[in-house]
Amino acid sequence: MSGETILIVEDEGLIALHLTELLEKAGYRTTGPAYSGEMVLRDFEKSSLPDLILMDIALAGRLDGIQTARRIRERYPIPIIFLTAYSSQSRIDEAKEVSPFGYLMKPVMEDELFSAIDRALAGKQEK
Amino acid sequence: MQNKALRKSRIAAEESRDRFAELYEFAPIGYLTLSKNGIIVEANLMIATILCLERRELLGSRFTRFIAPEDLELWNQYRIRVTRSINRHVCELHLNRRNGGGVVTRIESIRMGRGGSEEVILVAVSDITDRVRAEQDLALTNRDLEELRAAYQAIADGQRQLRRNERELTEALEEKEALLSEIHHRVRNNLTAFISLLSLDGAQEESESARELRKDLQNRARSMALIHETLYRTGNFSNVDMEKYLSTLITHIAESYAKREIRILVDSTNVALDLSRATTAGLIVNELVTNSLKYAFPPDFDCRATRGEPCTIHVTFRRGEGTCILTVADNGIGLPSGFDPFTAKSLGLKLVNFLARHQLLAEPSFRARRGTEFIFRLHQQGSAI
Repeated sequence: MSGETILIVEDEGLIALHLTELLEKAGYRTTGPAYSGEMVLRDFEKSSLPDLILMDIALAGRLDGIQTARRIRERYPIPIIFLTAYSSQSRIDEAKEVSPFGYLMKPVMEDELFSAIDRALAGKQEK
Repeated sequence: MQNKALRKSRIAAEESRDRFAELYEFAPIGYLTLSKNGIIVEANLMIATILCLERRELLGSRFTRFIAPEDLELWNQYRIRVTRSINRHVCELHLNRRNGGGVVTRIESIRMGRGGSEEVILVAVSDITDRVRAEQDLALTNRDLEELRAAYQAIADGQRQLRRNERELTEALEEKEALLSEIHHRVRNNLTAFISLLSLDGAQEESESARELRKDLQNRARSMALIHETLYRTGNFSNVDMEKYLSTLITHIAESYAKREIRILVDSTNVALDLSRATTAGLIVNELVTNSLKYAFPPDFDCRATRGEPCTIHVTFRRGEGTCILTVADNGIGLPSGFDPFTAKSLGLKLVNFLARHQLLAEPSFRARRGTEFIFRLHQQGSAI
């Protein structure tokens, strides 16, 4: 881990704050948090890209997390980890299809979160 | 004598012939006599009138000349039937008038021999245009009526379906509201259980800071539980009445931290927020009012002497032009010089700053004049009403 930048996309303020603190304490830089897919896509046009995205499936705004991830992956090779509180199996399958780095169930367990981040970042470097 | 009788008989015969000739000429029905080859050999005045012709134009002409092309085949078949039979035969034919118009006619014909000479066909022609038109009009009217009846039936069916859908929707809505109410009730109960859990410290000794932390956590959880209670009690699941909610919230916080006589005023008329923003606003108010209760009025601070009024915390939530403004103010001692509440490391102020920007979508500002005042201007986005 070498201070990679992680974008947090989460519309629930307390969870976003918790993730920010957790990641920063672990030495990552965080950006955002963004609360909607539209906000993420807009910000990508004018700011540097993160190394990884942690994104809630249910977001404020018109685009949900999976739709936003699809649009991101069409243009940027950034790994995405989904966060979800509850989802049907079909939604989870959809999420896996969009991002092979999968999803984490909320409330997120710290070791699971960091393992997923390590795997995603390692996968990105291999590419 | 015999000559006289013959003359008399001839005169009578001539008179009779003349009478029949008059009847023939002025009959209301057209009469034609056709040769075996279909040539008109006799015609009365009425048939000339029907076809808008002079009688002389008819005589010697083929009758087929006056038949509408589409009915020629029908006429041919009909004529064959007439010539092969001794009975009368009837059909309807469209005839052409000279003026370009058409006329619908009823044709009644019979084959006749004339004293052993060549056979002829006697044809009676009635103008039935008006009757046919009336029949067509009647058929159209009947069709319109049938369509109207079908449309009426469709409307009646639609109305029945609409009433059925409405009933189902109402039932579904009632069921949904009952479920929502149940969910809010359960969430509130779970949070209340969590607050109770935090109090179950057993017999262990607890430090002052641990007690403070526990109380802060309980109040934060209570601010959330109260939202669900407000929604459950009001039965309005889309918006939270902020005056009701904040008043109850402030009462709980005041009971929790009451150390001395501090007046807390709430003014939040006609402001309602959606669940997400109301929860955030509640947490922010909880943090700031708690801070004021804890730190703004130290025991040696005399409000009446310093501010000329009782110690007061004032929470207002007012509607502005396309916006809502939330302020939490106290007339206490104020923040230490150089203290920036928006970069402070304390969890409470970090929460306030983060939640205001991220979830309330409000730009927080701060004023230190006769105490402390935090102002949050909520953008129009969201459902502040």
